[in-house]
Order: sequence, then C-alpha cells, then structure tokens
Amino acid sequence: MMRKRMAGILLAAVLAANLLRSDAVSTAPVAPAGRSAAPVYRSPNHVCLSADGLKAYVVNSTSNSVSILDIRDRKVVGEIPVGERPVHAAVSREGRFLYVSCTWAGDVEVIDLAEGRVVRKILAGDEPYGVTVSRDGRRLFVANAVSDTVSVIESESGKTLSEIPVGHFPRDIAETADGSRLLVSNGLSRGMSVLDPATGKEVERRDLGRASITRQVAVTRDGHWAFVAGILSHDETPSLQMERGWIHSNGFSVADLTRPGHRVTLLLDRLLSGAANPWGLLLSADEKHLYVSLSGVHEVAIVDVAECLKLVAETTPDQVKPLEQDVEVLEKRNIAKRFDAGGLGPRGMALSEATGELLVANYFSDSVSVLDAATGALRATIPLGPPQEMSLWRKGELLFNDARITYQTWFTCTSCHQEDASVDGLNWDLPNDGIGNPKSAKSLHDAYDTAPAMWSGIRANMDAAIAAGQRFQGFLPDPANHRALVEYLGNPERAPNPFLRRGAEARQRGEQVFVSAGCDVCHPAPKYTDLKLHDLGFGTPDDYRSRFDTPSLREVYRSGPWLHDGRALTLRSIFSDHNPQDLHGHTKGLTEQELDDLVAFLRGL
Amino acid sequence: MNRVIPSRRAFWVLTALFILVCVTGAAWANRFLRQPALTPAIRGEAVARKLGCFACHGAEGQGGIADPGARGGKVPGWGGPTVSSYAKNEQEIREWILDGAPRRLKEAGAAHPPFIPMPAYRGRLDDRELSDLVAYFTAVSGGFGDVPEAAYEGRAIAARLGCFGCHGPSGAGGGPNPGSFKGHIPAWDGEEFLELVRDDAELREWILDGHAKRLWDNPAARHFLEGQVVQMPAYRPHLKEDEVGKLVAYIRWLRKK
Repeated sequence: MMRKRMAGILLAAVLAANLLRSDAVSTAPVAPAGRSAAPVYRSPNHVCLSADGLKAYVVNSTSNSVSILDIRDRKVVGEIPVGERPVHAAVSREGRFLYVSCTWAGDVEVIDLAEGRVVRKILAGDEPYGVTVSRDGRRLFVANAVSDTVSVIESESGKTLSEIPVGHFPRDIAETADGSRLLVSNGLSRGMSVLDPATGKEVERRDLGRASITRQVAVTRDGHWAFVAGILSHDETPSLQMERGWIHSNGFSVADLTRPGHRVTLLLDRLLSGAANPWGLLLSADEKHLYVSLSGVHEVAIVDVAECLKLVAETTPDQVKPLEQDVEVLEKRNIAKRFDAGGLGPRGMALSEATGELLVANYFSDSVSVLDAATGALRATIPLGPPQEMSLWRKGELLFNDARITYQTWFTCTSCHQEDASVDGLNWDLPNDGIGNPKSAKSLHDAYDTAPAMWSGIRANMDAAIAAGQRFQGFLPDPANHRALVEYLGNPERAPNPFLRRGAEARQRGEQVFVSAGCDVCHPAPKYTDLKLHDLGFGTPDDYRSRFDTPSLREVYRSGPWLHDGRALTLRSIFSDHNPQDLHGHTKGLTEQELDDLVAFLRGL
Repeated sequence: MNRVIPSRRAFWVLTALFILVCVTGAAWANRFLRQPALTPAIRGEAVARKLGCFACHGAEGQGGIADPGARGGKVPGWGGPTVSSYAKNEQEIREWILDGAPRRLKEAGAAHPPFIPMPAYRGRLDDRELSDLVAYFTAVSGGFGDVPEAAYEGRAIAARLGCFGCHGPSGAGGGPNPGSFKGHIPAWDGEEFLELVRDDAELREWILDGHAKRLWDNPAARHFLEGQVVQMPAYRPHLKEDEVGKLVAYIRWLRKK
C-alpha cells in the first residue's frame, strides 16, 4: 500500500518535471530577428511634391510614415503614420490626397493632406508597389508586385475596375498624356508592359534586351518616347569578368512608342566606373533633362534628352546591341553627367519646378538631398530625423546595396538579389562550379540556416558564401564588412506572406497532398529542406555534379522562376510539366484540384 | 636379381605429379569447400526473392507492376531517385517492410492509398533477414542522400559504365563466373576484395587495365585471370582521370560504410 503510494508520488513528480521541461525547452524554431526594433530608421524610398511644388512628401519605408518637408525652409514640418512598409506615393490631381502604397500592409492608404491623416485604405493586389494617378485624376493605377498585375482603381470609390496581368514583379507605372496607354516596368521580367487601360489588356511586351530589375518609368507628353531605368544583366555569358560591364552594366532604355518593338538602351557607366543600380527616373517639365538616380554608387545622372534622342534616332537596328554594351557612350557622346547624390542609397526623386531643385530620397542616410536641377550641385541636405548610428545589421544592408565594395563599382549584391536579398529571376553561369551550367539566382533569405549554400552546394555555409561573394566582387573579404554582411544575411527580413490572408482550407488540403506525394521527405518542416543533395534527373551533362542542394521552400511564392535553372515558370508547372519521371515527389496523376491545393499550400510557406 | 632402383628422372616426375595433384586438388577444394563470401546485400536479395518482393516491385526491384489505383499508375521501384520521395531514412524502410508504410505517413493519413497495398511483413522474417533485406534495398537505391560528393559522382559513373551489371547493385557482389578463382564475380567489399585489391593503386589498375599487375605477374593467378569466362574489361579508353578518382572514392566510401 505504502509502496504503491510512493510509486504514485514518484510518477507524478516525473510527469511534472517532464511538463516543466517541455515548457522550458520550446521546440518551436527561433525565427531570425530581421531588422531590429530599435533604432528605427526611416529609409526614404520615394519622394513626391505637393501641387504647388513647395512641399515634399517623403515615403519612409521602415518607419511606416510619410514626412512632410517644406522645401524652401529645408525642414521637416510634419510626419504622418501609414501602414507597414510604404514604398511609393502619388498626389491626387487637385493636391488634396496622397496615395501611399504600403507593400506589407497590402493596401494603398489615402492621406487627406489637410487633415494630416490616413482617411481610407484601398485594397489592391498583393504587395502594391508603384502607384500613379491618371491624368484626369479619376483613376489610380497600382502595380501589384506579387500578384503580377496592375489594378485600375476608381479613386473616389476605391473600387477596382480591372486587374490587368503584366510581367513579373511590376514596379512602376507611367500613363501617356492622352490616357491611351500605361507603361509598366517589370522588376523580374525583361520587358516593359504596354497596357490599354480601356480594354484592360497588355497590348505589347516591349523587349528591353538584357535589362533586369527595371524600376521607374517616364513618358514624354506627346506619348512618343518612354524611358525606363534598369540594370543590364549579362547572364548570357559566364560571369568571369566585371570590366566593361560584362557582368552588369547600368543605364536606361528609350522606347519609341509609335514603333512596336523599338528600343535603344544607353549606359550611364563610365569605362572605369559602373553606375550601379539605376532606380529613380523622371523627366523635367520642359523635357530637356532626364534624371536617373544611381542607387548603388550614390549618384544622380542628369541626361541631356536632346542629345540622347539624337543618338537614339541615329541608331539602326543592328547597332542596338553594340550600343547596349558601350560603356563609353556617356563620355563619347556627352549624353549625361553624373553627380554625387548628397546621401547614401538615392532612390525616388522629385523635381520642384518652382525652386528649380531636384529632391532625392536617400534610403541609407535617412535624408532628402536638394540638388540644383540644372548644375547638379548639392544645395542642402534635409535630415528626416535626429542622426542615428548605424547598427551592424543596417551596415550590412548598406553594404549589400553598395557598389563601393565592388571593383570599379559595376554592381552590388542587389544587382542579382534585389534590395531585399531575394532573386532577380535570371540564370547565372558562375565559374565556381565550372562553366556552361547557368543556374537561377537563389534567394539569400534561407542561407543562414540551410547549409550548404548555392545550388551545387559549392559553399559549405553562408559564412563561406559571403566571403566568396566579396572575392567575386573583386576584393579580399574585409573583416568588418564580413561581420556586417553576416549579421544582415544571418537575420533576413521576410515580407508577410500575402497568401496567408486567404484560402486556409485549400492550404490544408494541399498539405495532405504535399505529404502523400512524398514532398516532405526532402522538404520537411520547419525549414522545408533536408539540407541534403539529391539527384532527381534535373541535371544535364554540363552540370558540374549530378545532385543539387535541396532548396528551402520558405517564401517559395516569391522565389520564381523555379528549379535550379528556372525552367518552371509557375509553381504548378514544376509538377505538371517538369516531373516527367515522377521522381520530384510522386505527383503523377494528381487531379487539377489536388494540384491547385498543393500550389496553395506551397504559396503559404 | 634385378632390384628396381628409382631413377633420378622418375623421382622428379613423381614429385612434379604430386605437386600438380596438390595444386589442382587445392583449386578444386577451394571451389567446392569454400563458399563465396556472401555480402549482406547478396543475402538480402535472396530474402527479397523468398518473400516475393520482386513480384510487385519488378526484377531486382527495378520498377513495379501496374497499380491501376495508384496515382503514378504502378508500384514504385527501388531506384535511388524514387526512394527519395518515399522514405527519409533507413528506419522508414524498415517500417515500410514491417508495417506496410512508415509511421510518418500513417499518422498523416495518406490521401491516396494505393490499390495494391504494400503488405506488412512483421513476423515473417527474422532480424538478420530484415537487416540483409535493408542492406540489399540500400544497395539498389544507392542510399539516402548522405553520400559524400565524390562518392556519389563515382556511383553515377559506375552506373553509367555498367559496373553494377556484373558486380551487383552498388557492387554488392555479382553472379557466377566459371573458370575464375572463386567462381563468381567479386563484390567491392569483404574479405575477397582485400585479396584482390591491396590499395587504391591496385584498384586503379583493375579499373583501367582489367587486372592488377601484381596478380597478372603471378603465373597461378594469371592462369585464372585468363581462363575465367567473364573478363574484367580495361576501362582506360572510357574514363577521364578525375572519373577514376571518383570511382575509387565511391568504392572506398562503400567499404568504409
């Protein structure tokens, strides 16, 4: 009897101890910190002007606010909170409202500038990026980066009139003066979408040659010429030498909208110094000057539009390609001059015709610099808040976006991985695993905990890959830079997954398919990779190895095109078109419904 | 009286005869008395045959019969890439054999139970048979993705050149070879491998020239090398230098396992 009671007490004690232990040792994976909560940087990504041109609205992407500047007084006069991760904005025609696209919040927030607060939130597609107000002011055009669509929205009611499919990761939109066409830059497709907003159709995908990660777009008032800023990515050749822009060069494309297919690309590089990562682009009101911010070299280029169009007119079709590779054209033809931007990471810009000044949003300096629009001279720098020291993570983010750590400043890490360390959608033939086997740029968000790194597993881990990356950029790994980059990439910042906002049932069904098709054998939660190399018959004789590293499936919704050489243009086609031997999961014979569910599940990861 | 005195010549003839009888006898005795050194994988093949695995999974587990109810339309084979979507590790292979499915899948509630279910063999084979069967399965499938780089590439080269056709899956040991010293094609492991291959240099000779120089120069060994029905080919014209290294790395990795 006594013994029985003792045994009972003992059992209870053991159970309690186990309970306590399972409480103390959580099995949940520790999420990396990402951008730390403090200090809060403002990270201005865009700036636009009030109707009278005397005030500027600065979109602070990491403080979730819009700063209001008095341009003449050179100071901040107000700051309005908005939704998460605002990146772009446009002022309504009459100047009363400011439409701010908030990528993470997933909406376009309408600020009543008189009241100084958000009065309405308009739902667009997933990750609304560029926002443009129509000439008549009645409609809003919103580029939905993750949906790959442009929403046409009635500005008064906020009702979506149509959603037009475009290329991948649309960024920016320009409307022709007569309202008959919309020009859309696609961040992850190599062409500019030309839309007819009346029919809601893409009428042309204007090929832009080697252009990649194209950003801002502008059009002349007569609707004749379109300009789009972007990188030129030479993924057609092995990435062996960066001189003369043979990995990346940088500039803008000019398209004659009256001639389908026409395009001439001009570089803003110089022979010995690249113009890494063109971002902002705008035309002066008199259309004499084109301004392009060069975010990787912290400069602004002022382009002589007349000289530029003269060169474009002279260029015969067979000269387009050589011109696209001419890194001396800027100096030979005197088409542009480059100036210091007055801050680090210049992105969006605005031109105040009233003061003859160019305002530049400097992402990493948390400032707006004011340049003389004619001479490029720095007139003032307006800090958006009190000065703050850069954290190690922030330094890493800067280095990741900074061409000064690359030989001759031809490119930055972001030239292949975008500003968020993800993908550029291109296949690169890096020489680290032999030549002749181009592979898709991988998102770096998973490098920190899914060693080895790279498709072929050629780098033992993220640390080794960062060191190799610095050598690739032409320098020996710098210890201080290395620490900062390790901190930055070791704590990746992930956008909230928009697909988790809907379709929970389909995702649940999809998980069943995921398991029964055997996907979880190699892609087990929580990392969705077994960290091993596998040979599923995807390799070709030109591949260095038979096996590829199993990629993590986290954020797979935004890491396309998929498979090691980007052969699958949609998630669905991985199974429907690219699994003929039924080796990459037994997905043969899945019904259409099951495929849809599987894709829904994957998108939610 | 004539006494028969053995002449010097006769003595030598007799001695020679005696030696000949001894050598031949030893060779015969070797053939009949010493069983080929069976590897676990080869024993496992016999277990698979006994249990009837090949009836559904195809000859040597290379691909199965039709299963009109299964999504893929057939019973899966055991080839390397196939296994990677069925089993995470060796433990799950044991569960497939013993229980008809791994616990992981049973708990998840498979959305697509096959029309021809995998039988549960628990109680139908003993521990040694099970481990032999798993060894055979592992040889056919090539392992679970934890094969080091050079070894994996070596395995791919061996598969491409047809090595496993004679030496068995993953070199686990081959079929009969009349006229050879042991009577069968050797495995890439076990005691007899050590007799035939003393070091990496000799292994390279076997691969490139079809024989090791040490044995070729030995008249008795050469007798068997030249007399065996299946001759090991000299792969020199079909291999690049780095490929030989990968093959050697694979065989060394197999043996270390």
